[in-house]
Amino acid sequence: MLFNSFEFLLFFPSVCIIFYALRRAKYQNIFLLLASYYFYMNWKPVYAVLILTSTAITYGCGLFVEKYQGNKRKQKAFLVTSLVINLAILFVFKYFNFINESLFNVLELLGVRWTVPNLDILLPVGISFYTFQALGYSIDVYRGTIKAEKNFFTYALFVSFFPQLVAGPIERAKNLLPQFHEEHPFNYDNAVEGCKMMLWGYFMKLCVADRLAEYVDAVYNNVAQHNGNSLILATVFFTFQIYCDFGGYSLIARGAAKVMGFNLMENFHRPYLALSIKEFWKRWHISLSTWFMDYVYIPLGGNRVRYARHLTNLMITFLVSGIWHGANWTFVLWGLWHGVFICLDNLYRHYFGKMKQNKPIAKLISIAVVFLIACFGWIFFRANTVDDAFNIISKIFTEHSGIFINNRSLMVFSFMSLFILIAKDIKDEYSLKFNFMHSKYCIVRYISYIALVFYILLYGVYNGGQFIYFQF
Amino acid sequence: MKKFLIKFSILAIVIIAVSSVILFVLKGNPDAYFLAWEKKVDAVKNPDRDNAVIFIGGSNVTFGINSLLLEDSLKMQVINTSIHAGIGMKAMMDEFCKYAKQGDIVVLAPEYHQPYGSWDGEEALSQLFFLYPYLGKSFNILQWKNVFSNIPSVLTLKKDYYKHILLHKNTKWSAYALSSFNKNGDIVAHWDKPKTDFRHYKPFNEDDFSEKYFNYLSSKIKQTEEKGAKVIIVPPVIAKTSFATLQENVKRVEETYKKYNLKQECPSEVFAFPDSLNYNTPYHLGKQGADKRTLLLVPIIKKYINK
Repeated sequence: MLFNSFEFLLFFPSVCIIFYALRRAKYQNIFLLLASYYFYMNWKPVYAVLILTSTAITYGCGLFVEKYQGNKRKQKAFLVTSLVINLAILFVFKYFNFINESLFNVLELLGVRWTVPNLDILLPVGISFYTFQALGYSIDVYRGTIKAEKNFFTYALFVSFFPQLVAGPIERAKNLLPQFHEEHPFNYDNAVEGCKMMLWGYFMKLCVADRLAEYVDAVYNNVAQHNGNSLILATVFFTFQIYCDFGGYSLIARGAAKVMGFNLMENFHRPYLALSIKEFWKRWHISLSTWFMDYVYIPLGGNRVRYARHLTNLMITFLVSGIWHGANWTFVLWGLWHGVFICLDNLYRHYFGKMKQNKPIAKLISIAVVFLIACFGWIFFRANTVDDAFNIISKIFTEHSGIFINNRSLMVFSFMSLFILIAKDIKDEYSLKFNFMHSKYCIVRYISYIALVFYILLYGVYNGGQFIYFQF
Repeated sequence: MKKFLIKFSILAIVIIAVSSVILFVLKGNPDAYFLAWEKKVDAVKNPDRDNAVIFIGGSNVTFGINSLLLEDSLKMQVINTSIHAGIGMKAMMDEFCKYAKQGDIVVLAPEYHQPYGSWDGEEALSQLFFLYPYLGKSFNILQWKNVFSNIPSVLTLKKDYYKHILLHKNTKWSAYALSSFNKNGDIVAHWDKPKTDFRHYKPFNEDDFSEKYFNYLSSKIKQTEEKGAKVIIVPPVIAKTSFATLQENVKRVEETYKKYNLKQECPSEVFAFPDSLNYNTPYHLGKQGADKRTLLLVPIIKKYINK
């Protein structure tokens, strides 16, 4: 079930009504678990088996890890079991065909015939998200950061909680699990705040992301027919499309959880207003960045090793992050691109200290530079193939003529929505005193809600389909 | 919770009220494509009409027959009730079959995607409903769902119309207008226009396939034939390239027809035409294509006249 589907519009209020009618945490959890599985099974019921498998394995291993406290060897064995089975499932469904094809290509160059056929399976929606959430739990129990959850249904709900099940935020057990043990009586402020988050999330998805997607798809799916200027515009549009698609989803997810009284972690914090690439990664897909920080970068040694090793750790972390996003060399290059800039940022700080960015002009230049680096990186992310990506880059620097405009009025709507988005991000970032949805005047708030609802109804795109991050 | 529900309800009421004014009160385009529905209903409903060949289907029929040529060949009145496949075969048959009478020949030419989620309507059904709310009387729950989930598209359509009026700009010529239909209900205004580029269909998702559609067809045909009309099913016309891509879907449709004892008058490939005969989609024909299809239909329909 998609957040931007009519079904969700009926599903969510129904879930809220029943959820609050149940009152006791025990019943609320069982109901939410059923609702979450129903939500997920709307795509392909059979894939619920995978979540259930992942849940059962991490739950069981968690209990054993805790049981064998003091016996590091046994604890490790159960942790490794959990990691291996979960990663194997992820590998089969997400990476097998990619590695198989890559092997075929490499071996073909060496004159060796590789005949293992590809698997004819669809990638289960959100597999990387719930797998990583479950793995995070296993590692946390092993490290003793949290206690293993004894109640299977509560744990199953932690893995499958519908607002964040298919595209995050990838929650930490430390934050989310305790919330399932609390009573959740109706709270007016939470409900209002949650609805506002959802409304803005829908604006980001339907009015910005899906609107810009029309231009981006037209250009990126026919690279050969477009010149550098059109490709630059499409790349800038994609930069905002991916932010609004994923940021919008995360906001709807957080809003939906908030309405029911749950606090999910912030996933996007105005990333394009970051002053450095390091800061960009503290603002972009925060739940994944911190996951990699906690479970990949730090176990590799983090920055408590020789400096060269520290930089290598950074590169490895970003490479893994790229691969996490998809089974394609384009994502690998995207990860490497960011890894290189993170290392450069680090080198600069290492040798010259922190950059002074107090003056507005210095801030503006920093924002522009980070934006450009991010934009350029998105070329690899969005391009259909590596060849396409390099072709786009080459065209951007060589071919310049008129900009392709597919539909003049759609372009106007795109810029109009972008303007609203950027204005709000700037207002929030610098705490400017223009409050619309948060105004102290009731009438201003109500007019803002109604205006935004009608803007979404009239200027939204309703056949935009899935969220980009579902494929990860 | 009471406070929240009250405030939320106030907002919802304002939004629903404003939307209702836009949807039901504000006048839309007087040359809107879907206004043809009324004329088509009147034509079939007319108690004084002679026996007729009544075509029911989506735009493969609207843009795909020359009913004047067919009338000449069959010496029988032809009424083309089709407008858009997205209205769904259910809404079309519910409306038009009830006016079929003894001696009529009802020709069904449903698009291949009807059983793949279209038969209970898409966006087009929503547009039609807000012009003719009486249709709601025969809607099932899925049709209502489709009507409501497509409200934003209907609002957008109204907004675009008023934007057009305010800006006094001439929009590009389009075949999708009430004035593009001829007296029998075919779209003919594009016949002197050049063919435009179009995308071919990708295979439909088999998960969307519904046998309920065939069940519905079967019972509706039975009901109509009980009134003395003859109902026949012909394949839709489609561009060859799309036909090739949809092979598996077409096969499944044919097999399910057989399973439900529904007879298709000829093999599907008979109406897979060269792409060059299409106008702007794989289902829409230009003049040459419409004539070709009409001539292929003549012997099929003739078999049932005065039978």
